[in-house]
Parts: sequence; C-alpha cells; structure tokens
Amino acid sequence: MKSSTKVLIKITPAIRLIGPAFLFLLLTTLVPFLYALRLSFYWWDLSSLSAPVFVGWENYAKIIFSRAFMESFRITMLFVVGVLFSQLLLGFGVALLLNRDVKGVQVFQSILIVPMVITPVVVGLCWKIMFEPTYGIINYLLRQVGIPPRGWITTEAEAFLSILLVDLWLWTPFTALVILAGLRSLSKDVLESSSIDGCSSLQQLWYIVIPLLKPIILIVTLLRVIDCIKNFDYIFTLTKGGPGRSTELLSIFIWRLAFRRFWMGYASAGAILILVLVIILSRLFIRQLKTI
Amino acid sequence: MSKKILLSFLCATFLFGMIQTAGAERKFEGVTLKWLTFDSPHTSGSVKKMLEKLKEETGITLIIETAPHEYLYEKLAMAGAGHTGEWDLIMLDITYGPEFCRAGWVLNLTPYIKALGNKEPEIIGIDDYFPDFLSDFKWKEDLYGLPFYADCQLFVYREDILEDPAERAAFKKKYGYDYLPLIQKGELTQVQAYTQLAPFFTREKYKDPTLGVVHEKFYGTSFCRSRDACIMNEFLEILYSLGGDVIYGQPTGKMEIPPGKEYHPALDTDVAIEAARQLYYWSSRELNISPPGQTMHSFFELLSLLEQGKIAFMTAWSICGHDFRDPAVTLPKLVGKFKWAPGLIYTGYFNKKVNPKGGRSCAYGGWALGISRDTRNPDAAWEVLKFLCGKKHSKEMCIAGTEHPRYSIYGDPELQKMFPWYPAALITMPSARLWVALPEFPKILEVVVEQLNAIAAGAVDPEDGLAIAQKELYEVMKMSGYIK
Repeated sequence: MKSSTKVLIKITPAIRLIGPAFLFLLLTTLVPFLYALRLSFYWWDLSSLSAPVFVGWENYAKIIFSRAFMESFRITMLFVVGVLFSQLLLGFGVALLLNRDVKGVQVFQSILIVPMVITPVVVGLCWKIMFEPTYGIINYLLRQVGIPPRGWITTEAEAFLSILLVDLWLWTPFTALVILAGLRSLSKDVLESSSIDGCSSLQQLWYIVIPLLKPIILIVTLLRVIDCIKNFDYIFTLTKGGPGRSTELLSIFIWRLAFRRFWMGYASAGAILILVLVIILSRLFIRQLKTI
Repeated sequence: MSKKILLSFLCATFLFGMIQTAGAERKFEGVTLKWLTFDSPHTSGSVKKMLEKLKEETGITLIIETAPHEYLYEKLAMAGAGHTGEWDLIMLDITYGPEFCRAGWVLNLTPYIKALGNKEPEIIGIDDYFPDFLSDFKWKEDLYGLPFYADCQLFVYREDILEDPAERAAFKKKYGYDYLPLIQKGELTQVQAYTQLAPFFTREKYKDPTLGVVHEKFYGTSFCRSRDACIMNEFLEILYSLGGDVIYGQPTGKMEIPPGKEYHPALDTDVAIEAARQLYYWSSRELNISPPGQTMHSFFELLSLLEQGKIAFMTAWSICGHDFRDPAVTLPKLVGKFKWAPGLIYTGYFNKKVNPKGGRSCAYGGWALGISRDTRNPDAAWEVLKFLCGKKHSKEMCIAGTEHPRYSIYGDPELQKMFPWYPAALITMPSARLWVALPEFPKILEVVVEQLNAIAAGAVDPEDGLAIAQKELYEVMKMSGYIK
C-alpha cells in the first residue's frame, strides 16, 4: 500500500470526527467575515431602495479621517491603557494576597469568580441603577460618610471613569486568577534559594517573580487588550456611548453606523479596521512573547 | 317520491348556504398572526383586552411578542431587510414610519382601502384622523400604516400640591400672580414654569402632603435628556414652539427656505441656537430645578419620578394619563392626584428677538400599524388592522388603553369624562407637528441627539454643539441624495 494511502486511512477517522465542527466554525466565522470584507468595498444604505454600489477604498478613507472615528479610537485607546494599568496592578496585588497558605483563601477565590459569571447586560443594568445620582446606592453611601454625591455616568468627565470602574470590578478577578495560576506554577526552590542568599520579599518580587511571570502577564495583557477593544455589552447598557460621546468606544460607534444609520458597507469597513488593529496589537505581543 | 327529493334538495341547499355564510364571516378561522410591539398598557396591553373579540369576529389568533422600545427599530428593520416575515403586523413608530414606507418593508394599504368603496368612512374613517399624523405613514400618496395611537406633550401636575390654596397664596405673594388659572387655560409660559414655578416648589426636607414622607430634596420638575429620541423630543418641543425646523423644507416645516437651501440643515439659525440654550439651561445644575442624572434619563425614568412622587410637575406624553391611574406603576396613594393642562407656551429667553409672542407646539408621538411585506397572509393581516385601528372598534380600543388620533375620539364627551386629559390634548394636538418626516430621520436623529446630549451634559457650548451637528447633518443629507 502506498504511504500516502496509509496516511489517508490513518487520518480519515480524525477528519470524520472533527470535520463537522470545523465546517460549522468555517461557516459561522469565515463566511461572514468574507462577506463583511466584500461589503466594506460597497456603499449600501440598507433602508434605501438602491442596490449596493462599488466604491473601492472610499469607505476606508472616509471612516479613517472622520471626526467621529478618530474620537472613538482615542476613547478606546484611553480605555485600553486605563484598564490595563489598573487591572494589572490590582490583579497582581490580589494574586499575591491569594497566594498564601491562609485558612479560607479558597472561599475568597470562589467569590472572586462571581463578577465574571454575571451576564454583561445585567452588569450594565445593575451598575446603572447603582450609579443613579439621586437614588443610587453609591451616592447614598458617599452621603453617609460626608462625601458629596457624584454625577457618575451622567457627566462627561465622570462617565469614562465610571466605565473603567465597572471594568475593573468585572475583569480584575480574571487577571488575578491567571496571575495566581502563574504564581503557583513557580518553582519554590528558586524562591527559597534567593531567600537563603538574603533577598528581601520586594527584591524577590522585582527580580525573580515578575521576570518569571512575564509570559503570563503578556498573555493576560493581550487577552484584555482584545476584550477592551471589542467591549460592547455592559458599556452600551450603561451609557449607550454617552453623555455626548464620552464613552463611545469603537464597537459602539460601528454598531451605530450599522444598526442606526444602516450604512452597512461603511460599518463593515469600520469593523475590518478594528480587526486590523487587533491583529497588529496581537502580532506585537506575540513577537514579545517569542523573545522571552 | 319527487316531493321527498325536492325537500331533500332544498334542505341541502339551505345547509350548504349556511355553511358558506358561516365560513364567509370567519374565513380566517384557524389563522394565526404575529405582532411585535413593546410592552405597555397602550400597545400590547390594550390589544390583549380585545384578543377574544378579535378571534370571535375574524377567527384570527393574534400572538403578541414584545421587545424593549429602544430595540424595536433594529429588530423590525432587520426583519424587513432580511425578508424574514417573522412578524405579520409591524409597529410603525412615527420616527421611522417614512423610512419603512420608502424601503417597502410594509404593504401598500391604499388598494385595500379603495376596495372598501363607499363603506370606507364607517370601516376605516380616513378623514377622521388628524391629517398631519396620517401623512407620516404615506409615501408618494399611498398609505402604508393605519394610526394606532398618537399623543402630544401636556403639562401634568400634582393636583394636591399645585392646587393647594396655601401654596397658591404664597406664590402670589412672591411673584404677584396666581399660576393655576394660567395653567388650566394653557397660558403658562416656559419662563414662568422653569424660572418661577419650579424653583418655588424645589425644596429641601419637604413633607409630601399625600404620601406623608419627608423628601430630602423635592424638585419642581424634571426632564429626559438621554442620548436618544427622548432628548430630540424635548428639543423639538422648544424648537417647534419657537417656530424653527431641523431641516429646511421638512414636511410640516414652518421656516422659509432660503434659495438653494432645500433639505439643508437649519441648526445654525438663531431659533435653533436659542432652543439648544434653553434645552441646556432648564436642566442645568445652575438652575437646579430638577434632579441630577437627566443625561441618562429616558422617558420612562422621567415618568417614574412623577409616579413616585419626587417632582411637582412635568411635561409628559398625553398617553401617560393611563399610567398615572395605574397603581401597578404609580404609587397607589398618588393615583388620581394628577391633572392635565395644555402644553407650555415657549418664548425667546436668551435671545428675546426669537418669537417674543411665544408659541406652543411639540412633536407628535405615536404609532401606526402596518402589514409586513413578507407576511404569508396579507388579507388576514388587513382584517386585524381594520379591527384594531378601524372606526368600528375605535372607542372600545381607546377604552382598552390606546388612543386613536381621531377627531371623533378626542371630542367624544363620554371619553372626555373617562380620560380627563382628552380636553387638554384636543387643544394641544392641532399645533403638534411631525418629527422630521423624511425616510432619513433615524440617521438625522443619530447625528443630532449625540450633540444635544453633549450640550445637556454641559460638555459643549450649545452653539458649538449645533455647529458640529449642522456639519454632520449636511453630510448625511448629501450621502442620502437630498443635497446634490
């Protein structure tokens, strides 16, 4: 029997087993992506009677230089930086606290998962009520300790900080748990020998733990960056991108183009640009990972 | 024998005729149709009360599906564009009615209406509708939706607070006039309402006369300034009252069109800037007559402030009269404590040259029912439309909770007695105008509310915000082919 035939006989069961799932994945991801990519080169107003018109790169040129896109891009990048900075710090701190042999620490670990399992839309609705300036619980508690109530999501300046706060509550546990897993995988021998050599805890952390955890930190950073860029559900429920445009991330901006203005080609171009942005950032992180 | 045969033949013919007649009365027996709407006493609530009668008369079972109001538009648009035929009856909001009509997502009803011949006035009664409202659901002279409910902005107030003799006397002592007759006659201006009446009733540690609770802070009024149709509605109330338009040449427009400017945005005019300044100022922390948080308040949050006894008065959609009598949504002790008056008169405030005499107008609110282009049973859907919107059951439908925009309905003495806001609505409705009744209105709305919300939040100066909206609106109108 030919070797190629032998290989085919060997892999045919595998193809039969994973083939349907692979085909389903292809149909539900690749086909819509290719359709959106094609649509991005057409001008198509879904609510008008006219058929799509081929415009080439015009959609891309228009959207990149549009004021609204630039503003959403700026807000998204600010959000990403704000989230990363605060979540990495806080997540790391929480992970260090949990990485102790203390009684009851597993209970805290379980509680930590709770925000992540709540449906994001429900998260948005609950926080919206909590942020309400007049009857929300946050302002009520602030008033009890003598702090003047805030506008939260009702003022432009504070709305952005409010969504950062919600994201912090929602995803710091994820960051903490991933880093905790990394901490637990570190060899105790390295840490013990550094202690014997006279290293303080802080020196251990800075010169040993963090460098060893670099791959984990990079991975969690990459995952959070991608999440932040495509963030939609709880922010939309919370602020709908307002007040004004202070919390209108790129995802919300594209949604408005597609489902409020029904400019499908234009919106597809925007969506493809977000994909390109995510690919570029991912490549940068993966390149960094390979150098470690 | 021949007698027996003849008798049998006659009986058979008679029976056959009976079956045919019964069949003709309920020729849609066993037909099930679906309707998507939002859940409220005026829409799904009113129809649910009539479902049994609908089935009895037509044989049709109507399944009502509901979705939140703010998501109806995209659900229906996607169903229309995708030819899904998921719903047979379509709820056409006054804001996107023209778009749906032009896009052909709803059936042309004109042939159905013409087929009624001289029975049309008693079955549908087209001439009985408020003509401006009806025109929103027309496209090139054909009708695509039958009005289901309409409302306008009325002045609603707590009777127990504003009609209190001690309060009236104290106000008269301070400001030199009695506000109540002005309110009741529909002569109260926005300047009086927001610079005198509302501050007068904004109090700390206020004991509610009906609820008995002490409010930490009780406010005179409130507004809804969320980034959606709510803020546009409040802006249009001011803009239309001052005599302005959003787009030159918009249907029911009042402004003279400068040469070559038809379909150009009109947000750079004095009247638009004045409207935006007022929009900002009345809800500002500077004036402090309303609770904080309005930039996130939709209409339902605003309504709940009055229903929960936190403010003294507001301008509200006339249809909310039903809500204020419903102990399920209004505090039971407050049910029956509200009164209605015609909407406020708006005059120039920052720019005294803008409409010094003042005017009253607002944007119509409301819905029509249409038949989905992709329905499998258009004739059955037409039967349902005739039942829910037609003249025969109009009064019953209004008693059930909706409000058909008909002269006969608002002028009916029995209904006026049942629904005390009808007289005020009858005064305000004739001056109501359509939103920008162009198919592009949802896009126009998107552009304008973004800046209005930023203006209301104090993030941008009204003139600057409108300048941005003006520029973006110009692009929208150009991309849509209105401006060459």
